[in-house]
Amino acid sequence: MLEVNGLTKRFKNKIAVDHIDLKINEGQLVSFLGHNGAGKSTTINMMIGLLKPDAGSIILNGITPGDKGYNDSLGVVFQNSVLDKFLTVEDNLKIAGRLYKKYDENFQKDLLDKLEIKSIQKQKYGDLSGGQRRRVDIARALLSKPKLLFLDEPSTGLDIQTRNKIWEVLNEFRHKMGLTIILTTHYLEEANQSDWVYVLEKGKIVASDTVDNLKGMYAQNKLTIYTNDLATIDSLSKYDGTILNDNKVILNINSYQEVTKIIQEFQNNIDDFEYIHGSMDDIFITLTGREIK
Amino acid sequence: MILLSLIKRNFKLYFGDRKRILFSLMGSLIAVALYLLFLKTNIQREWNNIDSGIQLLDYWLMGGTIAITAITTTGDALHQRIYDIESKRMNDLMMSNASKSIIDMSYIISAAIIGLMMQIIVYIILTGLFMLLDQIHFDLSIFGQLIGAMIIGSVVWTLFNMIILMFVKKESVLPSLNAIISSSAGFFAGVYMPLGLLSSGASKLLKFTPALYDASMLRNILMKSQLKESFHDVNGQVLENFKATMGLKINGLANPMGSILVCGLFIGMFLVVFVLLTGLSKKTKQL
Repeated sequence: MLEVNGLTKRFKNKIAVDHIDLKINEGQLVSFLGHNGAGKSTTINMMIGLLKPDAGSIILNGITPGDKGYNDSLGVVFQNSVLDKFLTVEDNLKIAGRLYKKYDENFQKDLLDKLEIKSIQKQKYGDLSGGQRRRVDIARALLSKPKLLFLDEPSTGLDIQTRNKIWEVLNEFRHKMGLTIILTTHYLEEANQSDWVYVLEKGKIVASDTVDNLKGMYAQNKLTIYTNDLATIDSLSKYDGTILNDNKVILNINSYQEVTKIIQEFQNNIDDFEYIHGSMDDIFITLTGREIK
Repeated sequence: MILLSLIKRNFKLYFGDRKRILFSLMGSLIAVALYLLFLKTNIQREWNNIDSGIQLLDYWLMGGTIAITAITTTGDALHQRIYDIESKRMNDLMMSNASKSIIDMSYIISAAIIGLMMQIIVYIILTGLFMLLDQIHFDLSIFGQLIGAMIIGSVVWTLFNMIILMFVKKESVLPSLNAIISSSAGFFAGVYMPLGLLSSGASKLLKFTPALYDASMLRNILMKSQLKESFHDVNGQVLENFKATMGLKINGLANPMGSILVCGLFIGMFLVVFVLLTGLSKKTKQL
């Protein structure tokens, strides 16, 4: 559906996006992970045609940004809420809808229902809470029935209920209409549901794979055993990379068979245990480092 | 439909913000307040020998004030474009089926219509005020001509302001720009001082801006019947001198047609500059 080759953008002497290649198939949910300033938003701005690349190509179903009809299949939720603060939600959405040649009023009503906007549609957009605004932004982006939706950090600062509501609706669109979603996010668990993840660092793609494969490569599962038995602690500390902390022994073990074996072996001497799978956070930190950038 | 929707948006944003309307009328309100508080009595003293001089002066002021209204309100309506660029609202508009030129056209059309509406409102308010203060007459027969002159004024100033605003990229510049335009509008339209009383250098400078011609066009229409009445028994040359001094006749051009012609020339000139600038900015972006 979308193919990007050698995409590059410089701002003065700083390279913001450095020869990026992407291939996104229809119906996929693709995440861009990266620090602030890693080049995620710049990449999106080039893909939606707001920023002209210095080099490289972007081809969406055979057409490139700037070609007639390129915008027709796109929906964008910008990082900051950009609708008119002094107008009501209803006016904002009506005006936005009429900026499309194929405006479907019934579809808009349906969107308002799904995103639970009806009760706030008479309120001014500027008076809404962050979560309410985001729901309106999503409704506005979906108004034109896009085939490809860009979400630039859609969940930043939102409560869990709003995040769940938004994803409930987006997933419905993915399944019913085959909507393709490209997402940039800081919430790593949000990227967890993606079909494909691109990790960006200093304008470059440092990793690109499925969540499971990335976890396999860059994340470590951890077994934590709580015990006061010194002999057990002594035996467990022989494993590579073991961390001892009072009555807690943390082991890096990816094989669940090995975990079962250890638990069985020491079952009479341990007070409790937990086994935690490696997360997107681990992948992110492994690939981009711990320091604040 | 797309253009209409954008124009509707601009109207809602402009008329939905009372503070913005008040500030865009500030230039006109200040001109009226200054006139009532300081200038009226002074100029009136000179006009003692003119029959119904007060009423004539009221119409003269109305013409100038309506011209200021066209200058400031069209500018303020066009500020929406800068707000939209800075708040990234423009990015969202650009994601729709509306092209950049349609979006720009919507700002121009909205500003011209807003300018016209605000001129009509100011005309009604001032007529009411001077009917109460000086018993002037409300002349319905000039309304058609007046609207025509107001439309011309709106178009001239919309294009003028659009050209100025094409060089503005930041919202923070707007208050300073507003202050400069509002305060100089009164001077350029010859509201505070009749053209004939200015030094020759100043009057020459004024003749190179459309403000004087816009005000002259409106004043000729508003004052026509009162001039006939007040100068009924006076030598024609006196009337001609009066017209020249008060900026009703500029460069010897017969009015209001002369001023309409000059305003038309300004419209043409501004259009050419606007098209050139638009082309230039497109080229710069492509580089």
